[in-house]
Amino acid sequence: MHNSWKRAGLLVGVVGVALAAGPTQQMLERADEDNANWLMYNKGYMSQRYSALDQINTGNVASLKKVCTYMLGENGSFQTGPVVYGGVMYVTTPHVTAAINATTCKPLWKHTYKPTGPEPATANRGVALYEGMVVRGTDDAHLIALNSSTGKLIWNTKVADSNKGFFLSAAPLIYNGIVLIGTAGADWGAKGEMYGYDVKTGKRVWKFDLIPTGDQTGAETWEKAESATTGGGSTWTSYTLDPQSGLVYVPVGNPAPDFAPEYRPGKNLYTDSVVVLDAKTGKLDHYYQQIANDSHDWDTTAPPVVYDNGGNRFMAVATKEGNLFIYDEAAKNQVAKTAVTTLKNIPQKPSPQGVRVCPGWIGGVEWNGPAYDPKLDSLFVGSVDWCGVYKLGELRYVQGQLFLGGSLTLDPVKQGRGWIMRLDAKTGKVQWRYKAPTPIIGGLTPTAGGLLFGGDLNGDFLAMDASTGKILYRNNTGGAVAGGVVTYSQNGKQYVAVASGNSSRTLWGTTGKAKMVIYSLP
Amino acid sequence: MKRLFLALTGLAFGGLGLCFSPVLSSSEVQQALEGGQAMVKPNQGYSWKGYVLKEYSNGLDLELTSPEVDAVVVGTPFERVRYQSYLAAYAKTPLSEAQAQNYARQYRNRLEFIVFAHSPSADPKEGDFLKRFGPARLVVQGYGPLRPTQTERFGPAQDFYNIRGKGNEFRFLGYVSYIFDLNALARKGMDLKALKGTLTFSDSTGKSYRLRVSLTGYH
Repeated sequence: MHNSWKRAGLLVGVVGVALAAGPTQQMLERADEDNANWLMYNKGYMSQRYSALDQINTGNVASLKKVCTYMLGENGSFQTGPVVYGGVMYVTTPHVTAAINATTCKPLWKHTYKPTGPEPATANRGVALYEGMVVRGTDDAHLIALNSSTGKLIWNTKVADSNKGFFLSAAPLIYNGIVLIGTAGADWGAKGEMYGYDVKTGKRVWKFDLIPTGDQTGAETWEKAESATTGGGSTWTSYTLDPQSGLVYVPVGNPAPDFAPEYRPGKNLYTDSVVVLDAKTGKLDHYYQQIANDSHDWDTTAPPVVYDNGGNRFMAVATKEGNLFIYDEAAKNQVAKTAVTTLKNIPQKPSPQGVRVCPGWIGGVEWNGPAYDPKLDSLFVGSVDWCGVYKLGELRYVQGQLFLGGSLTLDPVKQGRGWIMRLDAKTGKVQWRYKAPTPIIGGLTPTAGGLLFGGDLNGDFLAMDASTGKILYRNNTGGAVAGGVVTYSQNGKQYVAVASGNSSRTLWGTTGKAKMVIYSLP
Repeated sequence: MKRLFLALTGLAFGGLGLCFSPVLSSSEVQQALEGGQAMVKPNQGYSWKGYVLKEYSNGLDLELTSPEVDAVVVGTPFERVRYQSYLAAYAKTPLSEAQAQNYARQYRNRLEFIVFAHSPSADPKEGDFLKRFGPARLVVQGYGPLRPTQTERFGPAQDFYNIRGKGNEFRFLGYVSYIFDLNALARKGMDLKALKGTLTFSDSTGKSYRLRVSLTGYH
């Protein structure tokens, strides 16, 4: 571990006391309505991402100015969802956790994690805050807690064995003293697991197997039992929680091997599903599967959003297949399914000549899910429109048999496009759509100012009229917008912060130094 | 899993009890056509039963010392037509009888050895491991050595294997197919149904493989 604690003078002296005390459980439960802060990956437990701030609005957004930029000094993947509490912003890269002044970008502290095991991938989506602690996962599958005022390590717990393909890329949630986090690594052959950890001690409280085996409920959906040993089921991004019921909504990724469904007959629960667990015990309450026996690597990766509409509670989730699903949580049934990107030849099997399929395996909705605007009663979804050709022939000899599958060649990266859509929150009907010049994978944030904040991989920070989809403000941040776009207020002034950098050079072909760019009105 | 593996291997070596046909009759073409179509079933791959020359691993689990090659299978004219029929039916464009007859003409007096293999490590540099497979040779008893008239490669794909003691690891995988033309032997009046010989080739690390072949065991 390397801890470069920087003295931050008076600011830390003032906010340090407040930070030590919070955010409390009560504050977290009100986070969806809290306008001063952005307390978790998707603002509040329900993942609505809606801010009631309206100082920046459709009438004045064109005069937004950059206030400051904080450079993290790295070029690697930057997908963080920043969180803000008490005037301090916490951001992450795969190894670094940094705290900065949320209005001046002044660095407060920086913690650099030194992995002790292999890192199957390098990605991190952010932190969770709780009573003076900052908690995050690492790519060698550890969970660490830092002092939110100093960045000093409080505890470090090995969650899983990264030698077996496990790592922790998701931003955790913390609820009633329990850290909620799950493993990633399905495409490396790891069997996904979801956990609850005691935030004070770092000890495990419960575990839920996202790939059921033996006599566990759902094991029968792996009709060839041995195929479940390499089942998949990652949790890549973050989670959603309903504080009324205490249920946590876990998006679960694709089964493995990715493109060989015949090898793993059955529905392959709980892959490509939203699993709903009791956050206190980890017991299964219910689940919704979006794709059974997936053959295209079309994970359910992004956290769902929970909201009320007409007195009923709904849950909406968007997947890499490119569909938005809306479920009625009282009736526990699906009420709508709407395409949020180009869909082509989806039910068709690959042929030896190749079949053009949209979306490809990095299409649809990636790690930032739908946002909900209660004023407009609408959902906003950003998506990737990037197709490819599935060719029959990815061959594998397994015990006297030859398994065929799809081998996908994506279109050139420059042909990848994206969409931002507004949809009716009850019916899923599209109300407007904006075709973006690049994939949209950053977070979308609607506000009471009638705006929708977002960004694209060209590095443009966008402010749109949420009612119409018209772009009212555009400013280049100098790097791809692939993480969070958040808004908060401090001393009566509204700010917007944008994570800008390199989403992933290999996959998305983007570049840019990791940085936070903060905007406000002059 | 181990028991299943042994059982399958046993079946594979047991053969079908039919003899090798270098030139397929119309009824054999029809049989191959229907056989391939019948194999398209949910949750089942294409069966190599009766055509496995050598199986080195079950294709999923490896020892640290396992060779690169997972298995070598024999592609006879009958098997190749059946495979084309399977492939077409899998893609929901089943072959017509005329198309199957065309394939039968294409595969006449032809013998193929398909070598399924995985890379020695997950190192991206191993992505071209199939290109480093050495040339093959089939030494036919009573005739002498034959070189492949074609060598085809498919891959690499990427997937994982369970490495004993290490857990799951990615490997590149694919196949190298060595195709031998037996027309010269037929013209010489040799009985191809009883052809015997030895196949040799080397993998990307230079490791040599030497396998005895007797076509009486393969339809």
